[in-house]
Amino acid sequence: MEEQIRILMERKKKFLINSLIFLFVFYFGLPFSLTFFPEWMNRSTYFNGLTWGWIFAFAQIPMTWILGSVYAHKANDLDRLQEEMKQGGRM
Amino acid sequence: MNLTYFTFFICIIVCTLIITYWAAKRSKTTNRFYTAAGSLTGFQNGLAISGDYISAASFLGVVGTIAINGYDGFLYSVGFLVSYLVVMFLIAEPVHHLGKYSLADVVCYRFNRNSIRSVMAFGTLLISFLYMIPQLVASGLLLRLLLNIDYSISVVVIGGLMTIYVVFGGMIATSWVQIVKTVVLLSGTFLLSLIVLSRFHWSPSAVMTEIIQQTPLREQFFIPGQLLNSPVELVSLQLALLLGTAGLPHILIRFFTVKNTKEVRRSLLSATWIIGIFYLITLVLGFGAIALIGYQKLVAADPTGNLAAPLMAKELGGDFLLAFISAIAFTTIVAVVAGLVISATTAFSHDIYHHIMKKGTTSEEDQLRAARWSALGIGLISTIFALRMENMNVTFLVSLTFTVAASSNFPVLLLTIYWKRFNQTGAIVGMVTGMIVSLACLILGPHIMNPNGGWITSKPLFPLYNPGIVAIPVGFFSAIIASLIFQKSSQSADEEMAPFFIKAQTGIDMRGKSM
Amino acid sequence: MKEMTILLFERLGLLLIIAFVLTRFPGFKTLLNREFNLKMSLVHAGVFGLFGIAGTMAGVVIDGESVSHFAFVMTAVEKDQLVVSLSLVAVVIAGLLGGPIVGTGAGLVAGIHLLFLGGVGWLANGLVNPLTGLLAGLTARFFSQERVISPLKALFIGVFPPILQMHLLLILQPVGSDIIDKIGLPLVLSNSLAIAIFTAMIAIVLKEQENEAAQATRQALTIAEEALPFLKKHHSKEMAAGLSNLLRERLKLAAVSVANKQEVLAYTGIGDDHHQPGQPVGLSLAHEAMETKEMKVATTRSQIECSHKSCPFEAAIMIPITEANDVIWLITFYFRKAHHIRPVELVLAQGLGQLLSNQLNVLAAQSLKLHIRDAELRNLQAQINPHFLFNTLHLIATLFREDPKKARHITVQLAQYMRFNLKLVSNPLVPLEKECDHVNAYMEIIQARFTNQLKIVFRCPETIPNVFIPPSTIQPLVENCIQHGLRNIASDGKVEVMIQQEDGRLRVIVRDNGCGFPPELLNEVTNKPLNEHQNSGMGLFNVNQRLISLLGEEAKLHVGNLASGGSEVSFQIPMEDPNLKGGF
Repeated sequence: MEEQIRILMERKKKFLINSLIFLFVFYFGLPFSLTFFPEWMNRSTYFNGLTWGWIFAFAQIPMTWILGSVYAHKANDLDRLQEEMKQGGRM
Repeated sequence: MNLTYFTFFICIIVCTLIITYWAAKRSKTTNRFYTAAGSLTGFQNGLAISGDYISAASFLGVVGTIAINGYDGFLYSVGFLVSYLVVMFLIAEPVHHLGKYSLADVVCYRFNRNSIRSVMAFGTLLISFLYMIPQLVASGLLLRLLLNIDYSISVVVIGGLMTIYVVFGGMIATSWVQIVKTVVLLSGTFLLSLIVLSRFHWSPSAVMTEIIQQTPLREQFFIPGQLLNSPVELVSLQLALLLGTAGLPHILIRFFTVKNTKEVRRSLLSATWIIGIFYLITLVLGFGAIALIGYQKLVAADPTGNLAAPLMAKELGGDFLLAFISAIAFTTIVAVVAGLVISATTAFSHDIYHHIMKKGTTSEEDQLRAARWSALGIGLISTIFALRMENMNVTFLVSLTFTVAASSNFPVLLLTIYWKRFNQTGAIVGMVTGMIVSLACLILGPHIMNPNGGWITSKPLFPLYNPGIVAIPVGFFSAIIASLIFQKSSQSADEEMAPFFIKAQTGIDMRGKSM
Repeated sequence: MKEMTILLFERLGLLLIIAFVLTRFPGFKTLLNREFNLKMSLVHAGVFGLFGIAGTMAGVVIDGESVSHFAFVMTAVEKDQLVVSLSLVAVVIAGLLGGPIVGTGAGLVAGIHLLFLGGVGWLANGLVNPLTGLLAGLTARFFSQERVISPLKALFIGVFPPILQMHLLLILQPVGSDIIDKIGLPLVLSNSLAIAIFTAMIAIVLKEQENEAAQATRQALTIAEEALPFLKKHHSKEMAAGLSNLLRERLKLAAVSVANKQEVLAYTGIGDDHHQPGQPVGLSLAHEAMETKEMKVATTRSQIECSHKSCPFEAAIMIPITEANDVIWLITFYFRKAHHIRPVELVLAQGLGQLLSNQLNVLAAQSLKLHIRDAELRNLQAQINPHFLFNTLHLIATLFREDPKKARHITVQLAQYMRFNLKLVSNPLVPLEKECDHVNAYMEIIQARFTNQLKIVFRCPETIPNVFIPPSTIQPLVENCIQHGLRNIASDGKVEVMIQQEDGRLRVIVRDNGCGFPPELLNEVTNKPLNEHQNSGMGLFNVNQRLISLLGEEAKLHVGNLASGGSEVSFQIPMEDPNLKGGF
C-alpha cells in the first residue's frame, strides 16, 4: 500500500509543480513585463486608460479563480482514487 | 456629522452584532474559545476566511491607494488575491492534517520541542499584533471623520472599546461574526459600486475621463510606477504579498475547523471568489473616489487616502450613506480584530501557557483567564503603537505585516512540510532570523527613519519601502543553512520525515505503525 | 427630518390600527393557520400584498424637498415627485411569516402597484419590494425555529430593508443626496418599529389560538370524567339522556343526540320537535361513521338528511363510540351554521370520542373482572357446596351396602366433579369436551340421587367439536332446572341437555318439564343477580354475564317457558372464532 500511495503522491507532486510554475510565471510576468516592456504595457487599448497593463492585471483575478478550480477538481479526483485504492487494497 | 446619524451608525453596528449572535446561537457552535469545532461547511468557512482576511486594509486602504496612486494600488489587490493559490497548493492541506489549535501545533508535529513552540508562538503574537495596528489606525481615522475629534483620542477610545469587547465577550462566535460581516460588507460595497457606476451613467470611459480631470497625475494615473518607483520595489512588494498569506496565523488556523480535505479546498475556492469579487468592487470604488471627490479633498482628509471610501459615500448619499458605510467598515474592523485576538491569545494561552509554562496541566478556565489577559495586553500595546501611525496608509502597514509573515512563518512552514533535511535548529534560526531581518529593515527603512515626519528623523539606512525582496530570501537561506550545518545523521532524518510527510499530504497517520 | 419621521409614524399608526382590527376577525385568524400548500401561500401573498398596497397608499409624496400633499396616495404621481411608500412593512412581515414564496409574492404585488404609480423612484420602489420579500423569507428560514419570529429579531432585521431601498434609489435614479437625507432615517426608524409591532400582534393572535386549544383540551378531559357515572349506568336510555345533556351543556352546542346502532336513544337541544328519541338512525353518513368507526362531518343540509323543512341545522359532527372494537353508540353534535365548526370543535369531538370509548373499555374490563371474581367466589363455594356434598356422601354411604359397584362409580364421579370445579378457577375458557364431562359427572350423581324422580338426558354430536366455552356454563343451567323448575315435581321430572351444531354455530339447549319461570322473573333472571337462595349455585345471571363478556352479545342466554310447560334456556356460540383460544 505504501508503494501505491507513493505513486499517487508522485502524480500529485507533478501536478502541483506544474501549477506552481504556471502561477509564478503568470504572476511575476506582470511586474516583469511592467519593468521591461513599459511601452507595450502602457499602450491603450479599447479606450483611453485601459492599457495592456490593466488587462494583464485584471487577468490575474480570473486566473486565480480558474487555476484554483482546476486544482481543486484534480486534487479531489486524486483523493478519490486514493480512497478507492485504500478500499481495494485493504485486507 | 450630527448626533442623529452617529446614532444610526452605532445602531447598524449593534444590529449586525446582534444578528451575528443569533446566527451563532442557532448553530450551537458556542465553542467559546478555540475555533468552532468543525461544523462549518466549506462555503461558510470560505466566507469566514474572507471575513478574517478583508480588513480595513483591504477595504479602506486599497480604495484609498487606488484613488491616489492609480495602477499601483491595484497591484496590492492582485497580490492579496493570488497569494491564496500559494496557500491552496502548498500550505492549506498539510496544515489541516497536522494541526489542532494553533500554528505551532503544525510544526511541533514534526519537531516537538518547547523551544520551537515558543518561537512559533511568539511569531504568531508578533504578526497578529502587527496586523492589528493598521486596524486601529483605520478606526481612529474613521471616528475622527465622523465625530471630528482628535485622532489620538479616537484611537484611544477605539482601542479601549475593542479591547473590552474582546476581553469580555468577543471570543464567542467569531466565525459567525466573520460570515455575517462578509455578507454585509459585500452587499454594501456592491451596492455602493453600483451607485458609483450609475452616477457616471454606466459608461467606463466617462469614469476615466473624469478621473483624468481630477487627479494631478492626469493620464499617468493609469500607468504603473506612481507608488512603487523602482522595479525592485515592485518585485519586492509582489513577492511579499504572494507569500505572506501563507504565513498569517489567523488565516491558517481556519483550516482546522473544516471536516475534511475536500472542504478545505472548497473553502479556499469560495474565499478566492469572494475576495476576487471584492477587489473588483474596490477597484470601482477607488476610481469613483478620485473621480467624485478629487485629489485635494481626499488628501485633506487623510494624506494617504484611508478615508476615500467613506468620503465618497458621503458625496453620493449624504450622511445616511456615510453612516452606513462607516458602520460596515467598523464592523469589518471589529471582526478582524476579534479574529486576530483569537489567534494571538490561542498562541499565548495554548502554546505558551498551557504547553510550556504549565506543561499541559491547566483547565479550560485557566486558559480562558490567560487568554483574557493576553487579549488585554495586545489591545493595550497595539493602541499605543497605533497612536503614532496616523499618516500611514493602512494597506501599506498590512503589507509590512505580510513581509514579516513571508520571511518568518512561511519559510519555516514550507520547509517543515516539504524538506527532508530540515531540523529543529533550522526552524528556530529561520523564524528568528526572518523576524529580526524584516523588522530591522522596517525600522531602518524609510518609514520610520524619515527626515520629515518619521519617528526617527534621519536618513534611512535601508533604502527600500518594501523590504520583502531582502527579508524573504534571508529567512529562507538562514533556515536552510542552519539545518545543513547542524545536521544530525541523515538516516534519522529520513525516518522522521517519511511518516510525517504522508500524514501531511494525506492525513494518514502512520506514526503509530512504523515507530 | 423630524417632521417626516412623525408623519411616517402617524401613517404607520393608521396601518397598525387596521391590522389590529383585522386580527380580531376569525377569518384572519384562520389565515394564520400555517398550511404549507401552494394555494395557501398564494392566498397569503395576495393578502399581504394588498396590505402592502395599503401601505403605499398611506404613504407620502415628496416633491423636491417638501411633502407634496397630505392626502392618501391614490393616483399616479408626476415625473419629478417621489413616492415614499410604507409597503415594506407588509412585505417583510409576509416574508418572515410565510417564507420566501409568500414574501416574494407579496412584494411583487406591492411592487407592481408602485411601478404603476410612477414618479422619480418608480423602478427602485418596484424592485425593492419583491427583493425584500425574498430576502426576508430566506432570513426567516435561516434564523428562526419558532413558528413566528420574535418581535425583537424582527426589529433588528427590519432596519435593513429601508437601507436597501435607499441604495436602490441611488443606483437607479440619481436622486439628490438631500432627499436621501430627508427620508432615509425616518424610513428606517418607522419601518423597523412597525415591523416589530406587527410581529408582536401576530404573535398575540397565535397565542390566543394556542390558549383556545389548551382550554378545549382541558374541557374535553373534564367532560370525560363527568361522563363516567353516566357510562356506568346499565340502562341505555338513562345513560344516553344523561350523556347528551352533559355534552350539550358543557360544549354549548345547538343540539346533541345519542343513538345506538338502530335508534336514537336521547336528544337534547333545539329542534327537538322533530328530532326525537326512538327514531331510527337513518342518516347514511351516520351509518358510514359506524361502519368505519371514524368521525364524520356533515357540512351541508343535504348531508344531514332531515326531512323536516324547518330543521335549523346545517352541519353536524358524528362520533362513533366503541367498546372493545364494537361500535355501540353514535353521538352527534348539531350546528346551526357550517362555519361554527372550527378546528377546535373538530379536535374536541375527536378527542371526546376516543376518551369515551376508552372509558367504556375500562368499565367493561372492570365489570368483567368483577364477574370473573364473582364466579370464582361462587365456584369456591360450590366446590365445597355443603348440601350437595352431604347428600352425595349420604347417597354413597347408602349405596355401600346395597350396590358397592354403584357406590364406587358415584364416588369416582364425585371426585371428577370436584376436580373439575377446581380447574374452573384457572381458565376463562375450556374445551367443550371438558365441560361435557363436567355436566356428565354432575348428572350421574344427581341421577343416582333422584333415580326415580328425575331423568336427565344428554345429547351431543358424535364428535365433539373443537370449541371452547367458558367453564361451568352448562352445569349451572341444569342445576337451575333441578333446583327451581323441578323442585315441586315428585316424579317424571325430565331434564334435557342438547348440544347441536347449526350453521357454524354451536347451540346448547337445556329444557325441563317443570313449572317454568315465573313470568315476571323471565326478563330479569338473566339481567339481575338473584340472591334469595341459600343454595348458591352459579346464578343464571353470572353465566349470562360471563358468556356475553367473553363471547359477545350473540352468546347471551335465551330464557323462555315452553308451551308444554317447563322452561328452556339456550345459548349459542360461534365456532372457529379465532378469539376463542382458551387453553390449559
